[in-house]
Amino acid sequence: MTITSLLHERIESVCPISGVSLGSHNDKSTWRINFRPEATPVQRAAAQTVLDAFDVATEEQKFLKAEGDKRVFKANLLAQPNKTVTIQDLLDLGLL
Amino acid sequence: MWNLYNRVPVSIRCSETTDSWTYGGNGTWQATNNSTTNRITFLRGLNEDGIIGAAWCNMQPALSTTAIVGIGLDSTTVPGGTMMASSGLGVSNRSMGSAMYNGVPGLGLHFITGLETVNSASAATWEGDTTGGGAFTQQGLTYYGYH
Repeated sequence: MTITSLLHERIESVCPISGVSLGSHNDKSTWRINFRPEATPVQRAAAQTVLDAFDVATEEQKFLKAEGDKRVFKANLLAQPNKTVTIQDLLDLGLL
Repeated sequence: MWNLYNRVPVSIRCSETTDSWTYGGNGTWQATNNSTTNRITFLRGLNEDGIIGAAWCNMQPALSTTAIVGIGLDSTTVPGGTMMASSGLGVSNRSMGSAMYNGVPGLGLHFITGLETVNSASAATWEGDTTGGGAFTQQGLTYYGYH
């Protein structure tokens, strides 16, 4: 998952798109949404709202925290070699 | 420009300045970053000399999908290259795909362009010029021919 693909997912949940393009990650005026032809004006407006609300710095912090949590979780598992690993554990580690 | 006599080698490079973008495509090709400026246009007065074109791009496809770089000759939807590379290792794995055209494209005005697709509707992240964490990547398209 990247910041770019995260933005793609969020916009795709409200509007049919083929992609997003971030000219400069720190300058929203360079961002572009590639709409699918079937996207309605209402959906396009919703997509723009999602883009406007998307904050790269905040999302990067969340992303780094999630990655850090994952490392701690993995270390805890490795410290318990006899622990039974569950499907949920694998999901939490992003392995499924 | 093209010369009948005393043709000289010409090397051209085209680079994407966009940081990153997404595209899935499910097998449908598009020009790099869906942009018509990612191309090198050239003129040929005689169909004698061969040309070499190469395209490459870093990408991060979604888990269990394959992202593919192609190169198009006079097309943004059909790869005309002789070689393609792909990657599909999944989440958090960045790798480079490349493609090459090596041939005699015919008389007249032509262009080559980088192409991209994924074997799934799941979008991959593609990187143009990205600086982060001390790493720098640069997508590119090059041309070499006699003019």
